[in-house]
Amino acid sequence: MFQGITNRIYKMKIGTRTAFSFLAVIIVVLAFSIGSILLLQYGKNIDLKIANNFGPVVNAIKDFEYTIEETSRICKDLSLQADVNRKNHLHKIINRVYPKQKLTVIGLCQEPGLSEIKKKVISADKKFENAKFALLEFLQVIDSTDTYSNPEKLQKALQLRYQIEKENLAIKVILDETSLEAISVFNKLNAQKFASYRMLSYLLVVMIIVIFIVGVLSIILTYVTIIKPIKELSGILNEVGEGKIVAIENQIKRSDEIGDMISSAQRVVRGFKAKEQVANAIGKGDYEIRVPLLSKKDRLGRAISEMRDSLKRSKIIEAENIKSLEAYTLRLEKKNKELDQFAYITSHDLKSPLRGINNLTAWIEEDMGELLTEESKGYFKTLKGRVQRMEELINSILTYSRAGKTLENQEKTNTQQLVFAILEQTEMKANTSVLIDECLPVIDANKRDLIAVFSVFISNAIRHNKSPEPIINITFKNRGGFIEFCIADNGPGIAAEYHEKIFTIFQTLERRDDFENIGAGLAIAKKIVEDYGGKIWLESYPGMGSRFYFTWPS
Amino acid sequence: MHDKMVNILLVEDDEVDVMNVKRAFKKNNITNPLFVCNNGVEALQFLRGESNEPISEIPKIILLDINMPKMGGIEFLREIRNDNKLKNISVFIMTTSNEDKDKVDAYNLNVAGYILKPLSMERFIEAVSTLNNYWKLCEFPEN
Repeated sequence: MFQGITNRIYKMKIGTRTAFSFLAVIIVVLAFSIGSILLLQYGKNIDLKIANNFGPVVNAIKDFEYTIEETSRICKDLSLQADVNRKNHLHKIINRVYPKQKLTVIGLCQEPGLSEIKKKVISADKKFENAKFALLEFLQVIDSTDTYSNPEKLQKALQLRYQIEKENLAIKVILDETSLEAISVFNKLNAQKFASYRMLSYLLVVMIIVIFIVGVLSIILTYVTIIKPIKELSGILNEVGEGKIVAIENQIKRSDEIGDMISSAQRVVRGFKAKEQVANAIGKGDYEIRVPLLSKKDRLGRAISEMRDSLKRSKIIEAENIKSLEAYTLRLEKKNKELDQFAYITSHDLKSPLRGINNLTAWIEEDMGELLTEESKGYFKTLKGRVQRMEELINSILTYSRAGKTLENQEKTNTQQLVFAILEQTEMKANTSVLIDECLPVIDANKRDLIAVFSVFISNAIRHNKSPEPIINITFKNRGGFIEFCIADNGPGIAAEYHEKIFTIFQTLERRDDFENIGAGLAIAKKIVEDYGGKIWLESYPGMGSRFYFTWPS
Repeated sequence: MHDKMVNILLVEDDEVDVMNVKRAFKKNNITNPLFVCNNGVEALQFLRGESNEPISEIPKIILLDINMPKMGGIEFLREIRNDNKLKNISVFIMTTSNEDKDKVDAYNLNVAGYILKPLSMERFIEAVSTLNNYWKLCEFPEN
């Protein structure tokens, strides 16, 4: 029922609805006003009736009664003595006063509510007609001069007088009744009047209540059908304004302005939603998605579309860049491999003529035997030394060219055991002490790669150490994803300017003739460590020993 | 021991290395007949009797280099292992190649040993002496 009414309300425009409610209020007010006016008019009419008819009627009846009584009194006086004035007066009453009064009363009794009174007055008048005859006869009787001396006539006069009085009395009774009747009619009218006034006050109260109810209802309806939806809508639009895209639910089908507003807002939100989806899709890389344009004026849509195109273009460029970068990387990797291969083949091929030189030298020396001078023997010694050094250099190039991360045999390697194994095979001066952290970690590596790296540091630490009591300290630290190893010694130390240089192949700090050292170990260690993704560096000062560090993925 | 010395074939392209082997044989007083071929093709021809130099007896031992022109050591080895007449010959690789791949390939083809040529003469003589002792110890089937 209520739903039906609200549905019907929602189908109306607000203007229509307002017009309807104004009309309803006007009709109510008009109805009540007309009712009040009618009631007032009704009371006023009764008042008028009372003033114009009932008051005069009662008075006229009183006058009438008085006149009747007066006739009786005059008759009494006249029966005692003659009096021309009174006689004339009686005439006057009979011929003029009474008929006039009678007409007045009858005239006043024309009102429908006074018909009873009129009837009574007419019946009283009929009786007075009788009395009138007696009066006229009485007047004739007393008119003769001898009346008062003639007992017969006097008798007659008295008789008539009594008859008159008797008639008058009857008339009086009727008139008294009439009078009472009139008063009761008057009271009845008054009661009607008061009833209409009471009715009027009730009507006013009802009107006030009705207007109040209509007012409250219209406030509630306004709130429910206008203010509440506007509030909700503005709340949602605020959220939309803050960037949150909320769907507007429209449970009620309404065709008023609010309905229009909600559907406009829904269009806005739907537009945004569609844009959001498209933008998300573009963000996820779908550059082929169609951007729905709401209309020719949809600037945001056009902007998104342009953004999509521009992203698409830059994606293509990026893809090309990546492609060329990948190609470049591949080429670089290939070149590096070729370089390694070149170094390997070259050094390998250099070895066999070198061995030939070595052999031939040895044979010449052997065959010449004692024929050689001491000087020549010295030359031969140096020659052999140089050939040997050259072989070592070539071997170093070979090792360096092949050093790196070996993809095969990657396994959990216990560095503790590994370091111990290296130390066992390393020649050491007496008094050398090697301190190792308890429980060096287990890491993923190819064992031979790791041995190569540790061997370089350990042998360097021992070979270059000129201290009478060499100390080597091997420690490690966890550095988030990497293990940092440190090989520290109390050797001569290295000046800061050489810290970079020593990692370059064949860079030595001392003359090879003074200290037989190829200078490839650190370069090889660096190549392996960096190929595993680690870093290699050192902290050292001349005279303060060296601390070599390298990191290995844990 | 043996009255009859087994024939030894040296397949080597480097002249100095050939001299080196000969010298080492001499030093160690190894008197086995030594034949020399300069590459795999030549060696195969020799072993199959297709060369100018006829042989009385197929060598029981081959000293084989790996890196050679025309036909390398591994290829040659594969050929003789597929040849019914030649597949039982003991082959010692004598090379400068320290490649793991070469070692694996060689052992897969049943070599008797893989020897890296040492640089110094003394150590080479030692190595040849050891080899000599080894094959002197071994019994070979009579033809």
